[in-house]
Amino acid sequence: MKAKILTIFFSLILSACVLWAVVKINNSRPIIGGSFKAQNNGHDWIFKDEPKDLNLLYIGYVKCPDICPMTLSFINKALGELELKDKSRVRFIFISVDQNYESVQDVSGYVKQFNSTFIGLNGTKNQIDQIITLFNLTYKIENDPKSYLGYSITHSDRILLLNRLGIVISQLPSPRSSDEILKKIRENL
Amino acid sequence: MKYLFAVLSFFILVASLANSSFGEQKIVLKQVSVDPLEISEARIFIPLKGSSATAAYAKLKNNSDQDITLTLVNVESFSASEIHESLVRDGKMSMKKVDKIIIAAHKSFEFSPGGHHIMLFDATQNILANQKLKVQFKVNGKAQSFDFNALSRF
Ligand SMILES: [Cu+2]
Repeated sequence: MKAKILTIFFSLILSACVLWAVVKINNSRPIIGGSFKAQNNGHDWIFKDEPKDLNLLYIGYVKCPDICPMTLSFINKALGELELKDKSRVRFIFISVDQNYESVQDVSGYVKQFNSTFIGLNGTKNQIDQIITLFNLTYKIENDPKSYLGYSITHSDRILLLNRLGIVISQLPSPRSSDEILKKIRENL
Repeated sequence: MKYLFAVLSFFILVASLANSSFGEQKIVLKQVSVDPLEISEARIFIPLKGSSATAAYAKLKNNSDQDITLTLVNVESFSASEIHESLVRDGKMSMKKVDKIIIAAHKSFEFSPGGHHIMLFDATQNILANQKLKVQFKVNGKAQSFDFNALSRF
């Protein structure tokens, strides 16, 4: 009888420990990200087909004249400063959230002017929205009758750093210099 | 030794005289050329392939004793131009159109990446590096043009 009570008692303690560990792990590392599918220059592009050791992801739009090209320039500069052996281990992916006005050729050709290794993606609204949800990002296209363009896009301004599985291992909010990007890459490579 | 000292002091005297007269000249020149609105580092990024929009930046200084109200009229070789401000809030970036800029007396203002910029749409011609493009503002209601230098992003 005593042995039975003891067994039950210890099983309870053990279960509580397991439960605590699971909750703790889940809380400290919520898993964001994974593989995704979009369009690159008119072809399907699937992340898990050719992941790098470290993958940088940024969303924006090609007609964004200020923050997006500044960010792309900084990323190009940061990658240029990496040691030769590390250069091929890192890749930058830009995803356009402007499905209505930007063709797949526009996006791919646009980013390649900054760096020939940059991948420029867009896709159907459905594909883009899935990616946005997967990575916990946001964007919003709003009519703007005051502006010549007629619309404006609000979007997340942060670089996500993904591992080979597409899981977010780190992020850099509002990157404003190539040095901070380079530091972040080195920390995670 | 005495001779050497004399020569040296002579040179120092001549040098300091030359310096001071040069300095005076500079001050006089500056007084003549001061505009109420001074613009420097005025640049336009040549549009990139695939994008119909680009931006212009500059540093502005109000040298006058009055506030300056600045509005944008047009930019040579572009179909449209607007003053915009990039804003980052809660990790999200957005842009909004700004109708006018007010620069207080003797203060500076900067169109700079990530802040205020002149957004340009649909170039009407191919723009080459180092080409000068006229940007027309209204400065306190009066039209005034400034040359902006076309630059490549790379
Ligand atoms: Cu803008």
